[in-house]
Amino acid sequence: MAQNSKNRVDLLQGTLDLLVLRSLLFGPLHGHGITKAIQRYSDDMLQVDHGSLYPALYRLEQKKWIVAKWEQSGKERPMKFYKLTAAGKKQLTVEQSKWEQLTRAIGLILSREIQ
Amino acid sequence: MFERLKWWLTRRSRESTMNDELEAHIACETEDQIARGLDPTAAREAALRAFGNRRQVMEDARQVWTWTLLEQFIQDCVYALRALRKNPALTLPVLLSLALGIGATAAVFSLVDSFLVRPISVPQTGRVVRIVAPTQSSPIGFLSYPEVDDIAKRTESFEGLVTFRNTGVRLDTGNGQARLALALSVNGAFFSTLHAEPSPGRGFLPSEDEVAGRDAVVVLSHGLWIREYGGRPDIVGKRLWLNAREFTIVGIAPKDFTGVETFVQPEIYVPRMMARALAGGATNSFLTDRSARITPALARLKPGVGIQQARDEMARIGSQLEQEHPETNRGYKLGVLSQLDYKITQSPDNVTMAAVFMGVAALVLGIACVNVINLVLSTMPARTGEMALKVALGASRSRLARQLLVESVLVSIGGSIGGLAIAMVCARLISSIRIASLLPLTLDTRVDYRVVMFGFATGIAAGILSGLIPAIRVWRGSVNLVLRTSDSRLGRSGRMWMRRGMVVAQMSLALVVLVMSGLFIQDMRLSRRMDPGFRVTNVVTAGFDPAGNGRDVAQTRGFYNELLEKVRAIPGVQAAGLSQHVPLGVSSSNADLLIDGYQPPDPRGGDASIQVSTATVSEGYLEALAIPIVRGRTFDVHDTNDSPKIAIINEAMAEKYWPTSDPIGSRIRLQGTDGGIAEIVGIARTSKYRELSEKPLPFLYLPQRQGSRSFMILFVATEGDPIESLPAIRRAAAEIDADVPLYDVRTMSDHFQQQALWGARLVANVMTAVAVVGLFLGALGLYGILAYSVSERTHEIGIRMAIGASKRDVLRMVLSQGIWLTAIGTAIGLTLMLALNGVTKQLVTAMNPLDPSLYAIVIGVLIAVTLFACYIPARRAATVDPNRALRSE
Repeated sequence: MAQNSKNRVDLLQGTLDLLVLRSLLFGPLHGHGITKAIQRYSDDMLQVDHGSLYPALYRLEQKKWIVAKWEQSGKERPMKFYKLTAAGKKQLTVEQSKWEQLTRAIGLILSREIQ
Repeated sequence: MFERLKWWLTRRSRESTMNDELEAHIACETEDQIARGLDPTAAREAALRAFGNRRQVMEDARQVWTWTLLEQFIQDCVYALRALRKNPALTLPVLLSLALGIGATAAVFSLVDSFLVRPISVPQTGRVVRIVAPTQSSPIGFLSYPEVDDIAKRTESFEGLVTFRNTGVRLDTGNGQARLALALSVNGAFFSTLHAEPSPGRGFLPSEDEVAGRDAVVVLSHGLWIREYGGRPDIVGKRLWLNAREFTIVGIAPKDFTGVETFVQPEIYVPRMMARALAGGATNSFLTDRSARITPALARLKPGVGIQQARDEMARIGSQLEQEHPETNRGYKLGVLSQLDYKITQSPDNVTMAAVFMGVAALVLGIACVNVINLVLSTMPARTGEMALKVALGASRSRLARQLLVESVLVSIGGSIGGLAIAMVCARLISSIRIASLLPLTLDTRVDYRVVMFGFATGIAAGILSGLIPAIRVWRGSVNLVLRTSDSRLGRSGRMWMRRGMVVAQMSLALVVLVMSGLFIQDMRLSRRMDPGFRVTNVVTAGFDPAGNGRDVAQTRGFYNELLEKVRAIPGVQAAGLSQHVPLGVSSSNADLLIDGYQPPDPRGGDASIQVSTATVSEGYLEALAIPIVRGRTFDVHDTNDSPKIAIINEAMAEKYWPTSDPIGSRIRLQGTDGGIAEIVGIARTSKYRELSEKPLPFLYLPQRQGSRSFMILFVATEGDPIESLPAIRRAAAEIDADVPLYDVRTMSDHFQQQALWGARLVANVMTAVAVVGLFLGALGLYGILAYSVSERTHEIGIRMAIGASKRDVLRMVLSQGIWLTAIGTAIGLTLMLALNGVTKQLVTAMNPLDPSLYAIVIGVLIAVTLFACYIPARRAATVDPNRALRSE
């Protein structure tokens, strides 16, 4: 990426699935779209590594949390769009609440240390 | 399981989809870069750079696909192994049952493979086919050398044609110990066409296939090279002596290549151009005689040519040859058969035999499978707890069923390995039987990769089959049911019925197997006592081959004339004669002939000539074997080359070809090398010639003094023990020519016992072994079910005893249960045998397939085994302590 920002952070292990599911909540996206969505929502702080995006997509697909479909996207080239399934939505809430618990817990620990 | 399969099937399309997807991604990125103002090339480069290592991405993605599936599978296997190890009381009998069942099946398959299925072991052997010239009397007639050469010149379907003929030669490697060896005389294209190029050294050159008697070269079999020369690599160029003539070794045949026919494993290969020289110059112009149809032919299809195309072409060439050579090729046809079709056409009996063998082996495997099902089912109650727990913890039923299947497949793989080990021992035993004959003939049974594949395939099929019933039970049952069954009497009794039904099935199969093997054994016993139609007692035989010592035709003739004279003068000798073959031996000959005034039933069915079995015999032979002449006269010493050609036929031939007229005085036209017109002078009683089980076989005797064969067998009939006259016979031979050795000296009764019944005995032995295995497995099954039922009924038996049943009552109750199961099984088995009567009748020669005494014996054996299998569980039941039994629940 050309405009490499200094304040970029690395993705925490295991959070990519959550981010992918979340970015699909508003509608189907293709792989490139997901990358851009995550990048945009995080104010360019998160950069998705392609090497882990596609394996993650296939993994989610296999767990039946997302489904893929080839569709024409405005341009000539057909793109593979991923869509959240019902099970995927359920999983998203599970993952989201887990994440919130985790961040709260970590937040608590960290704030105590400052005191 | 299904998912995994689907994944495998769709992997290629997935792969390309992934490629497309990544390509689309890069394209999008490129467009973004262009939007930012880069030119297209730079934009694409930037996009690719941003994307990183594409191959790595794809590899990572691929792993996702495989991983979860593989993971689950490995997990299944680990669980299964753990479950199996935890329960050796189940695993070991299951392994044993499967190993025995698969062992029996694989051993029988390797036997069937060796005489029927296995093709010649050369590269792309499926492309190698037989070329045949069907005649009136044989669908697989041989060809003559000129015909083979014509076909080879004209064909566009074949890479080349191969001819081969067996011949016995006296082999002297130079170590001073000459012996008889089997040689194959082959054409120049033999090794190159079969793609069996000798190494070290070379095959035969085209030039060595041109001039008769010029190129004295040999190729050795790999076996001979190892045995006689220790596998020395510098052997090429060395010399050896065949029939006292010097030959140069030019190559060693490949290790895998053991010949082109069942039973026949040649030690030496010589060019066909040398065959005449080897025979002492005796044989005439068979290399150029079109009517001498003496050679089988193989050919290799060119790449891309189908067998039908080759058939069409051969039909065309056949009719061309018919037009060009009307005098020899009238009605001539050519056919192409695959190797397997050829063997099936050659001896349809072998196919029946193979089917029976495999059928019986399959029954034994069936008994083994029933055992496994029973054993697995018997542990189900104990495992319901485990299963219920797993279901409660969230395992799906399909996963549980799958795990049971994986367990049985793993066990069956173990069983297959054990079974193949058993099969290997059996195959070694069978191939170690050397058929008692002049030349080393063995049935080359071995556990090669095909038998291994067969073993694993049947093993895994058996595993899936026997794992399916328990798996279906788990699949069907809900959690609640699984949890409840441990105290549901109803469910249990239902299962008992099913298991009892299986024991009944086992017993009926065991009966079929026992009766079948009993039939073969008894049939062989009776055959041994059957009258072969010739004298067996007090006859001794010895083989001679003067040409093997370099004697020419005249010397050979003189040798035999003098030998017969001297032997007949030995005191105690009743009759002495020569024959080309021993009746019921491994070798035999056919003659093609035309009969004046005889029209074949269907003149369009091929060549107008008929084919009959034949032997060249001297005067005194029929007398020595006490084969009576029913009409006309026998051969005598005056029937020589200087007198008109004559022949003797048997009654079967007279009836078949002269149904209304008198054959004596009729003329037959013999085709081929010793061809010519011969007059029939006598009719001999029909005896057995090739097999004891054969139907009356038309047979032709030709006089030895009108032929020029070198290898003959002397038959001497004596008043007393024929062995006593042997020294005198040896002395007589040595007085005439001390160099000519006696081969394969045996009494006729030895020959009759050993060789003539070799096949029948092998069949009987194999069937016995298979039957014993089947019986053992059946007994194991019966024991298992009764032992289980007793342990289930401990409580009930306790009550019975508490209210007054004696130990004897309990003993009788358990025994009668076992006997009932056997009785029902026996009844079903008997019905099966009745239904199979049509098939079994064809398989036996001397025996009534519904022989009551045989059935009595078999049923007796079954009852004895039943009692034995019942005894231990019954004893255990009888020693139940009512107090303890009642308290235990």
